[in-house]
Amino acid sequence: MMNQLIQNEVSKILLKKKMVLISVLLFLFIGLFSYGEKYTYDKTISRFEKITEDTSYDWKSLASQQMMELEKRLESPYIHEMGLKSIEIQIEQMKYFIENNINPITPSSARFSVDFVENAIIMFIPLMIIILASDLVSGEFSNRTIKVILTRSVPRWKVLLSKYIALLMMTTMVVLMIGAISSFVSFFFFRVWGFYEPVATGFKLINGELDANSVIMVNRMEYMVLIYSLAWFVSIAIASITFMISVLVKSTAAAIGIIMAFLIGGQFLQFFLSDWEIIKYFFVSNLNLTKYLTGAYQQIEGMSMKFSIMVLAIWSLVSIVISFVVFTRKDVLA
Amino acid sequence: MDNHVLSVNNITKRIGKKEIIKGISFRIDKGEVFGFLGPNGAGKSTTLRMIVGLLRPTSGNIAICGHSITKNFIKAMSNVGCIIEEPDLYNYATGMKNLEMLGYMSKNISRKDIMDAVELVGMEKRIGDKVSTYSRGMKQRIGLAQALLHNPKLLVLDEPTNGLDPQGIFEFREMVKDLASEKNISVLVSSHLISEIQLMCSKVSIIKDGLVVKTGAVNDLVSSSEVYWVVDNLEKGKLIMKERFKVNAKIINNRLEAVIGLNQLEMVNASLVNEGLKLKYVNSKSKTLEELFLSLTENQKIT
Repeated sequence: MMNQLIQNEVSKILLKKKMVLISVLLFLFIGLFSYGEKYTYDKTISRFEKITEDTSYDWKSLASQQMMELEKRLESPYIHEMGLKSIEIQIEQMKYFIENNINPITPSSARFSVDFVENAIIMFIPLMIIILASDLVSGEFSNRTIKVILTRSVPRWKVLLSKYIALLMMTTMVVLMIGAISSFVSFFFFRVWGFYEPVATGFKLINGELDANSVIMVNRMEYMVLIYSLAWFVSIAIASITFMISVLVKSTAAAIGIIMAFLIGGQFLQFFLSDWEIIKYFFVSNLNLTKYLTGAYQQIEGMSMKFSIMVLAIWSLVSIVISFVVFTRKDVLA
Repeated sequence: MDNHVLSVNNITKRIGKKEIIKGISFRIDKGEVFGFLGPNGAGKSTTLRMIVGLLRPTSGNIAICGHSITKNFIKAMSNVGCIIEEPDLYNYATGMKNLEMLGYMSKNISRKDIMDAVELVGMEKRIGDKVSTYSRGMKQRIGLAQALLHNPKLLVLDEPTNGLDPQGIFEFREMVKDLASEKNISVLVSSHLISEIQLMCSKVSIIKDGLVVKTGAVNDLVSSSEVYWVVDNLEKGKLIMKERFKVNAKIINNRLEAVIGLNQLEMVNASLVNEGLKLKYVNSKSKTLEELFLSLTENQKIT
């Protein structure tokens, strides 16, 4: 019984051609970004060649060139404190890469697909998940098919559970699709797979300073699995929260509006009100899980990977509980 | 244990501060087509939604084939098929896919059951097309097919002919009548159209402001007539009617007026004559369901 209900929900998502829409968007943006990265890399090389009149370069000379450029930017009088710290951290990392013989420059397919997720995790990936989740329940209300499915001999919690499970399955699919599409499309541009390159991860920020003592070396493939697992976790959290909103409001447009306001508003809040303690308990402030691995500059003090995962897990759980409580008691007037 | 297909016991529903249903009770027997007649906003739809489990009654209880809708939802609902307002379907899927998806939601529905339902409503030819290409009448047919998929004992139809053309209304009505007589399915149908109820139903409840104002067999309700008598002693005549027939007659314009069943008329006349009254004139005006409906539901205010 449950299997067939889940099958129903999956076919509704597929019939609405949502997966097609998501793949088109992914192809479009990933194509654009990997073309862009290829373009900047080519430009870096031609600039390097122009300055040094040397065509037999290797990545190390490119990396030190880039480090010098970063140092130059530090001297700029217009730079603000946040940017300063972020650049200092980047220089420290670059030093570490050169000392330890890790190539941070040459683009590869595996590197791109990791970079893409690191950048997309706070906005682009949540958006894809919102496309999936926002009308899952509210859609049944807006086209009034809710009356048809709630008058069969199936308890309401089963109807909702099948929807949630279908959502989890499709969310997982989307994360896998991001991995596959970003690897293949970027390979088309870079012609390098790079799955076995070494990666340094586990940089820590202690009082705003980069600490390389806890760094461990893994290969790109392992790192990719790690980053995609984090992206998957974030996606599940976004899916659960959107799912709840979809249960609470009757119109899909309102559901999308509300979750988008949270996402965008949340990014604003973390930027402007970073001193305010309570902001770090808001789910949007905790979406960027991957930054804890790369040692990027953090706006809010006192947050860690463990903390963010806990916050997201609690938000997801509470969302699911609210969804079930509300849905099973709701009076259907639509 | 009661044998009624549907029994509704004194249900009420409060939404916000407003009491929409103020205590409705009725029963439906096997194979009966029961009409629910009332003006817009009388609470027909709300009552029907409570019967199919979309709304929770504030008090009172509803049992379908003896299973309480609140305590044993699954068993109760496996005996009910319904169309509430529009036959809403997934427009992006084919008629067949819609029925398959809903079929999965009940136990033991085979492909043959689905095809049987499709055949019953005469949609074999267009079942593979997307619902968005269907006309209103076709959607109604698919709506009926989905309601009949799991062979329910009770069919609940809320304003089923809204938006159908005369031909569609006729076909739909015939389909429902056939279901009741051939498959012995009980039908509860709500409407604000009197002709509709008169043509389809055997029993009717007229409701107004969340209360049942009158329940009866359609034939009885229609055949009661307004009769007036011209006799020499009006007061005596009034007394006779009250004592022997428990009919409250009124004296208006020097004549005696009362509403009685046509089968009673001969007996009333005989008694009047036997008591020594001189009967000068008798006239009866048959009351239609429409007049009954209007007289019962007049002075309607939006409260």
